[in-house]
Amino acid sequence: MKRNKVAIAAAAALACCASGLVAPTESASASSAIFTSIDETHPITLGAPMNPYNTKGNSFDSYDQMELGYNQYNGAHPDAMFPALAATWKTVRGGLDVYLQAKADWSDGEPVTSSDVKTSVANSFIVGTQASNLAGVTVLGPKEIRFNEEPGTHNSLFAAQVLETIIVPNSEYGALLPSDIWSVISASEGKGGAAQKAKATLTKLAPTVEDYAPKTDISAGPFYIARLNAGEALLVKNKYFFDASKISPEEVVLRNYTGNEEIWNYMEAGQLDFAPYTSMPSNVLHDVLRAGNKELVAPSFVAVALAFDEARYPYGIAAVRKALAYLLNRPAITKVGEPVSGAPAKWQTGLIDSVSAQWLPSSELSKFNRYNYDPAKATSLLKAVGFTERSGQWHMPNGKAWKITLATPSGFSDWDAAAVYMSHELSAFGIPTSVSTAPDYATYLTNIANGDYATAFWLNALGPAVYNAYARVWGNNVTSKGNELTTKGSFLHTPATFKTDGYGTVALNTLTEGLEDKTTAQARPVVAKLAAAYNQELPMITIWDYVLVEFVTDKHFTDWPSSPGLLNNPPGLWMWNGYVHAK
Amino acid sequence: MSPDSPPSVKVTTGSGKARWARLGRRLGARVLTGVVMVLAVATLTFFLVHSMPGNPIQTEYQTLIARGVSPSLAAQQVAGMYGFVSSKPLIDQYGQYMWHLLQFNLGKSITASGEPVVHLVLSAAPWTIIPVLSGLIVSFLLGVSLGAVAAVRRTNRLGKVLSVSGSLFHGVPQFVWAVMLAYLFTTLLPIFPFGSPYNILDTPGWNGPFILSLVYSAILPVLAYALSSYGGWLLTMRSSVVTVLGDDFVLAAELRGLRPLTQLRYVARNAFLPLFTTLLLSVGFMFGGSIFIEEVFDYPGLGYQLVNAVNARDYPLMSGDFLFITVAVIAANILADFLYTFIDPRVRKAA
Repeated sequence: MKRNKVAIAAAAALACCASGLVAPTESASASSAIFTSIDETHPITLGAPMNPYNTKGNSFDSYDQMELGYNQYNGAHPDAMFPALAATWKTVRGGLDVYLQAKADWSDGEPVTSSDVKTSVANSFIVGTQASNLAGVTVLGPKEIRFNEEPGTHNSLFAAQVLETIIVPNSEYGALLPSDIWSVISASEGKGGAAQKAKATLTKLAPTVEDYAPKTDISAGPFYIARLNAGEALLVKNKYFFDASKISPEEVVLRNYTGNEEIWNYMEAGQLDFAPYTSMPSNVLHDVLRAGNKELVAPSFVAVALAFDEARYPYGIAAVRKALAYLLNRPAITKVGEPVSGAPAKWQTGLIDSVSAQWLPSSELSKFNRYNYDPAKATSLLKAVGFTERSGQWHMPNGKAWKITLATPSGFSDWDAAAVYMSHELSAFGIPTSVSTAPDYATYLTNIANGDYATAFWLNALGPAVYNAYARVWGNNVTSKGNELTTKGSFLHTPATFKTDGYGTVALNTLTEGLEDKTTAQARPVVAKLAAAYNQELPMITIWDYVLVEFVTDKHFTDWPSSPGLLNNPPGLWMWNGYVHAK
Repeated sequence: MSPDSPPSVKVTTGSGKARWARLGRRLGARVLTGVVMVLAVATLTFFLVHSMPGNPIQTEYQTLIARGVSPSLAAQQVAGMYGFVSSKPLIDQYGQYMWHLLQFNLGKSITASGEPVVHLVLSAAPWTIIPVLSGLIVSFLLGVSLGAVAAVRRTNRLGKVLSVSGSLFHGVPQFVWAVMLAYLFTTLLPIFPFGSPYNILDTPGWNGPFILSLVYSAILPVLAYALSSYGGWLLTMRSSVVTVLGDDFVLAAELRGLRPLTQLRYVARNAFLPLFTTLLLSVGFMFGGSIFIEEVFDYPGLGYQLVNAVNARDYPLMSGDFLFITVAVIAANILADFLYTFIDPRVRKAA
């Protein structure tokens, strides 16, 4: 009997402990005023400062980190921006005049002024993130500032790049700058030894700005960081925010993540009010939807392609690349690789399909070769350039058996699955194909840069500016050289010019480079030429366009946006644009 | 004298002062060896991590692109890393690294824009050390106790069940335990949190809700460590006790009519000796396992930090994490060696 009593007491104690232990998470999720999410572009880093200039800094865009404006991700008008700390702006001769929100205040109650903007721009020069062609700024008033464009230059995205400047408080960051900072910046824009010396001075100043650790988070955004640990950040509503009345959540909890699996787990456990895009297989989607999450869908400005190193035989032959395009059944590959957030590429233009439709008239698009699955066409193309088939194996014009190795990085499950399916398709056609998986993305990128792969998976059709999409194909690929990113060199070894039906010889590199300086109207004919050249030269075969599939639950909040522009931006922006309300 | 003599046998070890002097010399020699080993491992890991293909800036930029970040914003984010990737010849970098190491400076993180590695490593260390040690202690106490029971009752059903459980648990790798626990208790039956060392809504400090939240968040990682090593302790203890039970001194104790508790004390002390060394050595094994366990639970310790550093090619942070784990293992070895002299009179005599 005594033993039974002890057992019952132990069980009761255990039950009490268990119920007590469960309490913390229950209380956290039960409050409808707490918005729980993940910042997919910025995982939390323990020990890193609350500083937006630090690559791993704990600073969260649209919550406590604010810009003057946010990109609307409008494929047709890549310079269209949402107002943020800038209420309005106007292009003037020699620059851009920006008018700050009249009621914009920091979370310590001090107003956001032109001095804050000037300090932020100085910091952007120091860390190297200033807008292209920006010469400096002129304060026109407490809430009005002019961004000066370098004389004699024109950048079609100047306004957009200027408005994407992150704004930090002068009260925190001003003291980090030497008194002669603007003389140094001005000197750095010149030429010769003095400019080099000034650039070196700015480089030396960078660690001071990047490592600075503010004791408290002074934010001009709708929230400020109250505290954070290695797994979560707690942000509290900034009552001084210029549109505070529109911000429904009292608190935001941002959770950390390392990979897609963590985000899936959170969603399946119903722990996120908003989950960012993650690549996922159909069975996971099923579990996620069953847990009460619903999808928000918008175009994503990125696609995946099978890219070729044209310097390697036989991929320099256009007919070979075209034949492979006919052999790859893109809808079937997409169904295997990216069934949830992928749409098979319809047109091979170097742009995602929705942007193609915005930039190219349907009459033009209808002339484009769509390279739909057609092994017979592939056969005739290959035979026309000297390939032969013997005993079910294709041989190259040089007599050697044609074998393909598709390169992918480990951890990209969608690419891996697609590559395996493609290898079966090509092998069945008579081209023995294997998949080579690099141990991780860093190794994969190095191998690509070293020219180790003849065919590899590659992200393309970047946006929203068409310049980004074509720069990814024809020169100016962003790569790294030593200490910094550089825009030289391309592993694709594409030709500089291409004789294009209907347009004659198209200067691929030159036209691509020129796109950055052109207005939308000026860029349209250039895009028509480049798209046609892409379709005919086919430097890479776009397999699928990624689709932005985000997830929300209606458990605590409702009123989610549907416009692609907002969905491509973080949720803090949605809030002051009138969305996300507590139930 | 039998090596398994009961501890009541007196051992002459000289005067107290001389004995401490010998122990001090022995400890000094061990520490010196340890320092040399740390420097050797630091050298090896330095060249190992720098031989990995990949560039941290390019990797970070392309990773952001893969996450759907626009090229201009991605370039903006990685700009903070400029200037932290050394372009000096590797041998010069090595010289600088070792010189800094002698000053306890592990360099600056590349991906965290020059944040001192020491700061980042020390921020993550508690979230590995506490669960690892908790898991080790829980599994050790449980495994050793039940191992003794399994040995004493080895002929009946309880003993057999315990032995089978030990074999079963020992055969399951750490990461399988972690994945299974995570799936069961964070997804299928979401009663435990994951991804955070404590609930951010609880104010940190010496208060009930915070401590409760801290413990609650650590339960699954600790359980994963404990379950993965429990079987090993049980089987080792069982085997050790069974060996000791067959020794003459146990029979002599029985014949002398000593109480069962006294007999058990003799047996336990002798059976425990080989386990003690293994206990401290297993610290290294548990640290190694943290890479899998922290990854599964998204728990922000050294293993989690190391995986991220490797993926991002943050060479100084990788070296810092490796070094910290190395120092922990070597320190555990020295401690094991030193403490053994107190536990085992034969070793003390030899010292």
